[in-house]
Amino acid sequence: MNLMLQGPPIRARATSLMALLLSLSLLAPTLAAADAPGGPEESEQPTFTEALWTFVLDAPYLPIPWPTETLTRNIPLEDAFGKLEFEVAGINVDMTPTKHTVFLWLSALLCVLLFIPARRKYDKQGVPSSKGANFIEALVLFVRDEMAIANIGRKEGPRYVPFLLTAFFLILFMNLLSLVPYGAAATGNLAVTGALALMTFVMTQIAGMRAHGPVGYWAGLVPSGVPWFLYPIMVPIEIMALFTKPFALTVRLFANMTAGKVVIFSLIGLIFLFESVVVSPISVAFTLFILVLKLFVSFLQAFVFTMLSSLFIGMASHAH
Amino acid sequence: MTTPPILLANALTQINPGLVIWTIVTFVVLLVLLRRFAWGPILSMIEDREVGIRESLEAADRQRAEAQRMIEEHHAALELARKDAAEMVKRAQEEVELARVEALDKAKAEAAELIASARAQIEAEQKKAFSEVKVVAVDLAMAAASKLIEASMDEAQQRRLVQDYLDQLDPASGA
Repeated sequence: MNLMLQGPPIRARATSLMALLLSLSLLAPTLAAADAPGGPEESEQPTFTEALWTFVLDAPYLPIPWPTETLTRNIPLEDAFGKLEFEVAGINVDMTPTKHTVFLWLSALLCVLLFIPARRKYDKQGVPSSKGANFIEALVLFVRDEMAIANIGRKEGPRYVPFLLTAFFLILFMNLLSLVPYGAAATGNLAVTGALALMTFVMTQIAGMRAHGPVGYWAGLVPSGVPWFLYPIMVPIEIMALFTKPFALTVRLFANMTAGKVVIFSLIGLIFLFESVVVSPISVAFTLFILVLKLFVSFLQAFVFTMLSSLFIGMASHAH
Repeated sequence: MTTPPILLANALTQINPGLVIWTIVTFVVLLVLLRRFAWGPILSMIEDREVGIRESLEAADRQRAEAQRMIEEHHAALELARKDAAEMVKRAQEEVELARVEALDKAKAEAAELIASARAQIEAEQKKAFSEVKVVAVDLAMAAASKLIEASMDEAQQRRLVQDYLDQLDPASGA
């Protein structure tokens, strides 16, 4: 409190106050983690590192705004959905929804709520009659023309447009939801990005087998014109190449989204680390900058994932 | 009890199979839903519109070419009509001129003929008149002579008598 008294002039103080509010809203769910059923048992303050991982990692509860001391209430998802756990071939699979599962569903719900009504916004000539529908159409056309048709081809390309569009918007909304206070980055989870990359992998194989036939596709994995004695080298390399593509997709998206979260946490955390409100203007300025950057990165990573997916599908269906 | 940070960091790279399954299920359901109710209708509407625009443009091109062709045709027809009209006027003028000249010639010829026939008629009438006068004169001479003989007068009397007679007849002899 005496910090406030001997602190900077009014204007900087107002900024500091905003910074405190922002940092509280961003970190409130983290601070509340201590009270969470899945969190540490004692109600002691979490360490800085623990708080960071709470901010970034998945959790079995969903933090929502609540007028308590920490401004947060953690809803245990097990209570809301019930325990969904079963064993398959000796592996224990816990299907209980987690925080990231909820944000995955929120993103899917956003897609449904935004795009299903969009088709009714077309008049008789097939022209979008509202700004929203126009904007959606611009994105749809971009995915169709610049990704599907440019990378896969005019004949086969349009077939994969729904897949690419769904991937693009699901990823985009998951990325954007991570920028909202109390939001979590579902795309900052390897399980989510891995599953999405798996979808691309499956689509790529389907595209390849569609274009060349199941036998022709697998036979065509090794480039023609390679001398037979190179096969022992070429075959493992080509099979590895098959899996490195989705692996790169998985890690790229995960790393980008997680890195953003870590940077934002670290910048806000500086205030608490130095235990000084003087740091807050710098922290807030940088956080704002990173948030804007993340807004851009959200679009960019959704674009990159979709673009590379279309590129892989195109490579598989052309090949050789 | 607090979890060592290293274990939490490890949790970052741990994959929750439940979430993988949920992501796949969510993605597939969303893909099916959006494909059926959003992307499909929107893409087909866009495609219909594109086809419509392409067709209208092609139709417009065709119609423009058609219009151009028709204009050229009309121009050609107009030119032809103009030429025809000019030729017709020229021909008509020539015909009129020809007719005029012909009519004039004919009139002249007819007039000449008329004059010639009139002249011939006059001549014939003259001849006839002369011959009639001759006959009358002979008759008169013979009548006078017979009168002379009848009266056997002296020469003076006879001469007076003939003269009287001739004077008496004079107005009639002109006929």
